[in-house]
Amino acid sequence: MKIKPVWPVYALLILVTLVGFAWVKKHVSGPEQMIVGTWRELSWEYERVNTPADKQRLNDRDTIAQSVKDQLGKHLMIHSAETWKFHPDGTLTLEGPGDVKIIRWKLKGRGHILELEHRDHTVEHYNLTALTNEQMILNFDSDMQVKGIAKLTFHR
Amino acid sequence: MAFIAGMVNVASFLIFFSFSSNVTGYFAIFAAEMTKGDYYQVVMVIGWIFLFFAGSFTSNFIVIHFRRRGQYTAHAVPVILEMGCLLMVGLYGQFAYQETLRETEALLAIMFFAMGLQNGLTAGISNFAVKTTHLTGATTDLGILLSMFTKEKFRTNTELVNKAKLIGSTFFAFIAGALTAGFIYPALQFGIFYVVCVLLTLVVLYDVIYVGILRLVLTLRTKRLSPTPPSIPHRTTAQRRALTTPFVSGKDPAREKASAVQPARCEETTVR
Repeated sequence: MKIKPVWPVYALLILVTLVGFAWVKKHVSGPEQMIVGTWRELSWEYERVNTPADKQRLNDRDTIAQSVKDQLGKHLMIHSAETWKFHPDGTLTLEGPGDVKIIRWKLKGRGHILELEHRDHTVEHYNLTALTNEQMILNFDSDMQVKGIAKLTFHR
Repeated sequence: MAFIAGMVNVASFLIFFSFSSNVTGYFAIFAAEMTKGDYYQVVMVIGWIFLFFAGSFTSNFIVIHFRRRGQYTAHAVPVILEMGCLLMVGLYGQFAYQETLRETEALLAIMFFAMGLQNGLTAGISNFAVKTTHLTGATTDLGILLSMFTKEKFRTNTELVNKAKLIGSTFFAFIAGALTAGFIYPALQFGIFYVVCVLLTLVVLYDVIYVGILRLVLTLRTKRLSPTPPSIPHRTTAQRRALTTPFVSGKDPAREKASAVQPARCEETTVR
């Protein structure tokens, strides 16, 4: 049959790719492993706002004032959490001043979406913009007070 | 097929937060993650792009190498493979999905392969003219065609008009599929892939059903028009005898005679 000589090439291509993937997967640590541990909140910022007027309202300061942060986080389960402890079993301990919450975490997409699920099954999604051994940056869309994209930075 | 691609794309976005029916954006993500040094993401994105490519390769490979076994089979096999992939995603998602990143990546990989199969099939059999899993090329083509239609000579060009209709229908189908998936996803969740599989079954059976119906209609119409099928020419007894008489010389006298004296009925049929 004419197609016979093509099959080995096709099979080899697939094999090489699969072996390559397996090798890389073994040697590059994924976000699910990297996120596990304790993270301390460093800052809440507005990375992007919708209009220049919004930016002006923030007094040209990137860092969000505590009052704005309170407004912004009023409807978020992460509100007032200063320390985030990601456990390998999929639980996340949010520790704030005098308040401790335990919720569930999952990574979606290609590891760029952090899904947090509350005990009452409320779900929130954050963009995991950066994740290194030292730093984690989360983004989320906000329509509170100043519309835009808020950025949360954490350090180990 | 565009309807199905629209559904799958929206389903993958709603469930896994990643699109699966096109790879253009992933090339940009690949570059961005490369510059950031996030090699895990780089590998993942390359893997998905490769699987889309592999799907397209497999699809056209089947089409061109299995054509001898029948065009229908050659075209149906990639669709059946696609159905198998998406059914696998649906079944796993409904009964075994633990929402780990590894599972998400694997299920997305299967979906990329399935979409590659579909795109490879439609693009392959249409000579690169129709791509059903994304609308980038179609948007470009439609822009060009609509600008061309500002001139009358292009507006009257049937080929261009038909192309615009084709692109328009692809657009409509893709968007309709995407909206349908958006509406039914909350109720069906992973069950959405079963709907997709049913639609793919219809695609596979379309030719069988269509050809069957067409044959039936033709037979009925032929019977109504003439009691004798037109393909069998009416011959006189003398002609039939002449045809059955064995010939010895190089020439076939019976055939010559038969062709020389055509019955009136046969002529009529030919004119029609």
